[in-house]
Amino acid sequence: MTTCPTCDIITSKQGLLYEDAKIAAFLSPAPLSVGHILVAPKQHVPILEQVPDYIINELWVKANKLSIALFESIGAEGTNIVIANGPAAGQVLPHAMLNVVARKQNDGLQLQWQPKKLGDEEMAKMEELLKGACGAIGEFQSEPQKPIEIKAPVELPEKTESGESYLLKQLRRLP
Amino acid sequence: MPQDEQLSPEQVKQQCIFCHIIAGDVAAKKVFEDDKVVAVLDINPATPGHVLLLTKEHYAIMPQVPDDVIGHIGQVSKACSHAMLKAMKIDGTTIFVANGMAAGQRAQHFMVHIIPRNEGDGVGVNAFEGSVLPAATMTKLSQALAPAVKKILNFEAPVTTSPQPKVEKNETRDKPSLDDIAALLQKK
Ligand SMILES: [Zn+2]
Ligand SMILES: [Zn+2]
Repeated sequence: MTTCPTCDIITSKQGLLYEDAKIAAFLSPAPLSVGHILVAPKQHVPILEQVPDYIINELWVKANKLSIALFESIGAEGTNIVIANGPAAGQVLPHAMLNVVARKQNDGLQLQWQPKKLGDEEMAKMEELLKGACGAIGEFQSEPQKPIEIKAPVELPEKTESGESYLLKQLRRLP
Repeated sequence: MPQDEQLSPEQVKQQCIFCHIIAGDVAAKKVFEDDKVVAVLDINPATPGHVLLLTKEHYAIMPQVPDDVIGHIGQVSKACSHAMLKAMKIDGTTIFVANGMAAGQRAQHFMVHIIPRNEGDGVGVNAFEGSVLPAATMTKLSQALAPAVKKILNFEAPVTTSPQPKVEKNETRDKPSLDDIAALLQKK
């Protein structure tokens, strides 16, 4: 068994700031600032790409609310919401998560970058490459619905040849 | 900025360069668009391929963005990161929001940065962790946050015997798994 410190925290439930069926949030044990919250799916998934879309949705909505909580409770003057996706991006734990980092003016934390200027050619190349790659975005996984339990056979009312009968016919074809 | 208070929502949009980009009257390298968001290349990228994911609606700061839009932008940012990993020779991605000037926000329009990453490219911090804080500070933080979390997320943390999350030391970090992550990302 590989041990995952994030799963340990989630299952121990100790010090959780927030949890629901899908996600949990807690203070980072090694924070970048005073008020660094980790928001993670409860399910152990090492990388972002493996987190189902409906959980991504939940993670972002709750991260935004936790960020608001940081503003309201500890006087944060700003927050960064960051996903470090891969060790090259600074991911340090083998569990996908969002960081919500409380910020103060001039706190000395350098999370940003030196803006670069690329040549027209390289920009055009990037545009073409990413336009092609992002073209498939649009179908998002929704949460699997629990199968509906049918306790007793349902009597379907007889239908005339109206628009409704088509739907009923489809329903009957279901296994 | 007191004069902002006198501006109507229309005037704010009129002054926002990103609203003009979304409207199409300022040129930009658009790589994705749907009914809620637009993705464009950052003209001053951290690394080649740096994408700005913008809400079509003008929101100055993240707390103003409705839940459905936040959730959607999160999903699109994941898909965009995935598309980068498939299309480019990169080791990872950073998905980044600066919320407020203290956090480095420079534009008056809410956006998510999606940045292709390579080992040692010097973007931000090398590791997304800092130093362990005294237990008393952690406890104080939890206690300060609890009422806000209760109010905003409608969640009350149960009282636990130890309010401390387990302290994770660098030495105990699961290195092999991180290598696996790098391998997983490169496979894309
Ligand atoms: Zn885990
Ligand atoms: Zn705008």
